[in-house]
Amino acid sequence: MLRLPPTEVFYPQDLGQALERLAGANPPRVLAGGTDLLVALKQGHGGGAGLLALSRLPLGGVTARDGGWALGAGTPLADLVRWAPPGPAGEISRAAALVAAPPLQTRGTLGGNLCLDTRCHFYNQSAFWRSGRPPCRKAGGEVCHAVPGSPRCYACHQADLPPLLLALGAEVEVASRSGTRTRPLGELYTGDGRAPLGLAPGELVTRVLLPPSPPGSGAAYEKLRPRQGLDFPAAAAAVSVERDGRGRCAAARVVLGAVGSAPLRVPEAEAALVGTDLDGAALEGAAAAARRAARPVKNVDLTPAYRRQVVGVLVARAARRAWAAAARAGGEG
Amino acid sequence: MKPGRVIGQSLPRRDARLKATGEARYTADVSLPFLLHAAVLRSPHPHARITRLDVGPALALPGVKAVVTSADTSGVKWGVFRYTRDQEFLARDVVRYIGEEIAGVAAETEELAREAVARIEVEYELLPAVFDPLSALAPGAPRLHEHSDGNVNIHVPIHVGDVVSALAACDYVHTERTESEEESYFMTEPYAVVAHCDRQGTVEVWMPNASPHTKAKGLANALELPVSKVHVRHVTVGGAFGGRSDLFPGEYIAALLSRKARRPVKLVYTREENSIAVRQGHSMVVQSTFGFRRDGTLVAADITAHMDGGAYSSTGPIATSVPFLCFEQTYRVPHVRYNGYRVYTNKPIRGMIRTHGRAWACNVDMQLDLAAAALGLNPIEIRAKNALRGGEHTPTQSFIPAMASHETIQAVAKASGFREKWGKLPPWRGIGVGCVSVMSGFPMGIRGGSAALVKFDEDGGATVISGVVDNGQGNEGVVLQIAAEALGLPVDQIQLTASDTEVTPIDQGAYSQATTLVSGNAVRLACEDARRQLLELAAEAMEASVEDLDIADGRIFVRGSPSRAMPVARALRTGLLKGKAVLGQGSFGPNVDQTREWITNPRGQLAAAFSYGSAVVEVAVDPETGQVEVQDVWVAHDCGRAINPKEVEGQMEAGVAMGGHGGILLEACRWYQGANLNTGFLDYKVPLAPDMPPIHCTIVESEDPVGPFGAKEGGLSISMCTAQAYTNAIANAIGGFIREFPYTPDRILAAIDNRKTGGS
Amino acid sequence: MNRPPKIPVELRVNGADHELWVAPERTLLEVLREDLGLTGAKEGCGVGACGTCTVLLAGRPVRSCLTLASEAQGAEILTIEGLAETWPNRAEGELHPVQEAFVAHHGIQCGFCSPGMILTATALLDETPRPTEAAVRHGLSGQVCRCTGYTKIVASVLAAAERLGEGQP
Repeated sequence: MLRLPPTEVFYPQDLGQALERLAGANPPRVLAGGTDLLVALKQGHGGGAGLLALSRLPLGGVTARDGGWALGAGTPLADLVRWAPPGPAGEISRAAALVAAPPLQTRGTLGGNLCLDTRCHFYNQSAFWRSGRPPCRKAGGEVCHAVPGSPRCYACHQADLPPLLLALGAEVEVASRSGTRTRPLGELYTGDGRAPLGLAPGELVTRVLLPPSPPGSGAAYEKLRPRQGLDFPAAAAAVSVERDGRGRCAAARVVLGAVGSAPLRVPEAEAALVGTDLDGAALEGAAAAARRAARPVKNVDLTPAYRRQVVGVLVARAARRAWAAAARAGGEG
Repeated sequence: MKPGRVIGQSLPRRDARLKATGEARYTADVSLPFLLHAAVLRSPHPHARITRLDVGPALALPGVKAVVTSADTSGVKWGVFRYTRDQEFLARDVVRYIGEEIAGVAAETEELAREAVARIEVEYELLPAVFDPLSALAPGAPRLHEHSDGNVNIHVPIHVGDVVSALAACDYVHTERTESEEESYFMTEPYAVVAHCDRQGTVEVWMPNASPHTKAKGLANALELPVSKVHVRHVTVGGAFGGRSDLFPGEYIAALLSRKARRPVKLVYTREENSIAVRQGHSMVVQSTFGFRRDGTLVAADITAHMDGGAYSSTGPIATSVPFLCFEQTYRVPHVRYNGYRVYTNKPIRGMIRTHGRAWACNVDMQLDLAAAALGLNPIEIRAKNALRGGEHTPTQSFIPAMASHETIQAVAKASGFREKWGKLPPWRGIGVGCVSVMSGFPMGIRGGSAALVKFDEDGGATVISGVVDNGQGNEGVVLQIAAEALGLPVDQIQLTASDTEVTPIDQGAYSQATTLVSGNAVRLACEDARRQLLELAAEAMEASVEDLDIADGRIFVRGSPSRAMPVARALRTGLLKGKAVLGQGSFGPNVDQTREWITNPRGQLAAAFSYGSAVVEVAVDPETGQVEVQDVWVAHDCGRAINPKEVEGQMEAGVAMGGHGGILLEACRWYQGANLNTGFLDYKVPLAPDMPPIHCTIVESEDPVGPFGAKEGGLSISMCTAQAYTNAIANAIGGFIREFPYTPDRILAAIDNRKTGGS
Repeated sequence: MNRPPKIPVELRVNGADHELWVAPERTLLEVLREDLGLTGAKEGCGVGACGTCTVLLAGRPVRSCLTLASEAQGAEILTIEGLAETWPNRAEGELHPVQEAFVAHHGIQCGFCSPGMILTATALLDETPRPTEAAVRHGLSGQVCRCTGYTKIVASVLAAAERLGEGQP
């Protein structure tokens, strides 16, 4: 059987104890579901002094907060699927249902998905596979097999929920021994494929805070993957829009997934939508801006040229769907 | 005998209850007392000379019980044929692909065995490597084997008629070149083996396999033992698809370790090992030139294929030939030339797999669509015109006794409404058809037949003893239903002892589509023999003549006066009192030309029966993303008489998934310098439940004159013809063919864009 | 290799309690197969992609190959070996309706995916007693079957839904 390397597992009694462990000299790795981390460990991507299992801490659950929502980082994706609130946040349930497949949604958590490691055909391989060639940057080496000669790591950010949560204007609550702070979710992502998470040592993501949705707003997440299950996105787009009283787009957020080492917000695409009624020209403008911004390389399924082309299509489709939802919401409100 | 009591009934499989409850035992579930666990050291390099190998540090680890390397072997090389013996099961001096076996370790635990493997010290001198067949043929290419100049492993040359003159006289001639990457098997059960060399000199082996008797013979040769001392045991097998056929290093290494350690040894491959160190499909480049008369009659075909064979021969001569053979029995082609080259490269070893190369099967079938378009025919007409029929011969001189080719074509045309839809579908919608014939078995010398026994218990229950092996396709159910029909007993009164070489007589195995025909006939004959003996006993006791007696539901009765009857059990007891036990035996060898040889003499009767399949597929292509939505698949199959129609349907649906949907839309091995990038279920895209379209199956019932109760091959035809239908439907939707397989959305979108911008 | 000490783990599997000492990194799949002899859960890949190791944890399907044994403590674990017994008032030899449906409707070929497939389907029907065909296909989207093309698996699940729904409003 494919086995984990010998590892200690800590089950903290409370959050304080967990943060204490994380603040130590050689901190453990955070086990927040394990559907990705345990795979990496089985493939010999070690590091960290043991595992810090969060499953017994009360970090899950969704609560209403200031007209918006607070989502516990420990919430299983399966619970998000069943949540299905009205309004733009309902798209979170739809996106969660697109992560991998139902049995992986049972154990996978919101926090785990937010902190999902970046991926690359050359990195997500067994120790045996990797032993035949020099280690890549992400594995601690000096070369990049995906982009030979490159000075940086291009591992791809393929988590499904971050683009949508960014489009919804989410903030993330981060706890450490020295307290709790709230940051825009976008700050969590460094864009460095090798070390994609902008968390300081000792920090743990504890909640996602969603602001109230303005009336007449809508959101949509579009994911392109080879199969209708299991697969990470080869390209993805999340769009949120607000519709003003005259049927024009008052505000928009456009975020791309799986075309770079971080979810990518595209202000030019947003500008193409704002002030329009999302007519064909506006959608094409947003799609073109998305294509210009995307930086896919050949390290996941399907060719970079294709993923760049299609991410524009996904932006247009997500925008159209978000706009329709906004129209329905406006009609109801 | 008129079939009907049991034949044709969709009985549930007997082993289904075991499989539904976790009770079925697969190889990794087998445990023996005093068991050791093994791991294998493999080359991480595609081509290298081993300059130093020191297993000392592994042996020094407490709990390690045995280590084997090429130093422990006789140096005899394995090959399916005498002339293809090119592989040592533990590499000596040179490794030729990533994953090649160098050493095996047996230890008290699996973890310990793996740790010991990691401690083995190896130094390599890297050698230049080559990763595709055309590069391997180029002058100056790295050479894999001393015996093979230019890296050609197998060349199958076939020429019937006069292709050059015939093409020159044709009204329409067209050349197509297609390429495809490798398919991979991805049977859900990874390879595993348990081997026990005991102190009486026998070896017991459990492993997923498609032919226990072939495995036993190969293993006996490698271990230098008589075949009678190698007992390949029955075990539940988690899929094969052609990937469990010949002998693998795993079983040899496990047996060698067991012999050395004097304890049973279990070796379970990881998914990655199963992907790279068992078998893969051949990637290939195929070029064909087809010539037609103005009326659409196919006159000549000239086909050249370059197949990437990987580092060793495996079933090379067969794998190189079968795509051609399927073609020549599908369409009538008086002048035909084939040059199949299987070329050595520094990649994993390739074997036979379902579609036998989509670049091959789809290339020849797209030629018919292109000709139809050029000559103003529709795809159904041109196929109906050229489909070979029962009563005809193939170019290489096989007589086809029966084959309902036209019936399958018309069945899918009618069910799908092909003629009404052709040319009238909205933009980005497409419909396509494909056809293939598949042989039931092929000449395999002394191992081409099957024998079976049937014995009785005093209570009237029977036990069939047959080498038939079930990889999941339902072969055990097939022979049980045949036995029940032939004996006149209810199925649940019959037991089956199968695929245990200590007790089962010879059988060819489940890898040439021969099981139903060959193993099935052997079982039928054994049962008819037993039935005759039973009737003789009853005739004496009942004072009736044998000819007037029949058996049904476990009772022997006089035809026409069913009250004159006696239970089978009583007839048996009558015999036993006289010292006469009923013991039926049967053996069957198909009527094939045993002088036929894959390379030196590719002519003569290939198989005793030939089946036919046709498919129609309707698709909608998203012109913005290149994604294909398959709306419906219609398949029709002449498999002779369907012994168990639901099970035949299961094989047809399976073929659609693997050959059509997976084979054309999703599946391909990806590479980086000889390293397979997608060895797992996440990156190699086996179709999932929501991907699969509605599938409409038609079984075209026919009665094969040779098959048991009229039955023959079922399922493989559909895998191949569906691949062709997918290809043709997508071409119809986007207005042109794509020449690289599979048709992933990036390739489809690029083709659409090329067409828009006027590119080729 | 530096080995941390074994830890005590209490598992409730198919209604029976087990007190075990295991290395902390051992997965539920390893413990089920190697310590408890429950080999119905298979390892087809070991990385959560194939679904052959799927068991039910507190009624929901999980990959036992990516679940630490210690993480499964405190919840009911149901493996394929225990499924039939969860069906009340069954006749002698009768299996759970989902199992019976897979047998009767030819939803099983090689059988290697069947334990995970059947358990996942059972959890799906528990939550959605009358699923659409699309919902069944989505629910099974993480369970790879290489043999059947899924047609008869989906038919089996829909037939089981009928059977389970008999006599219910």
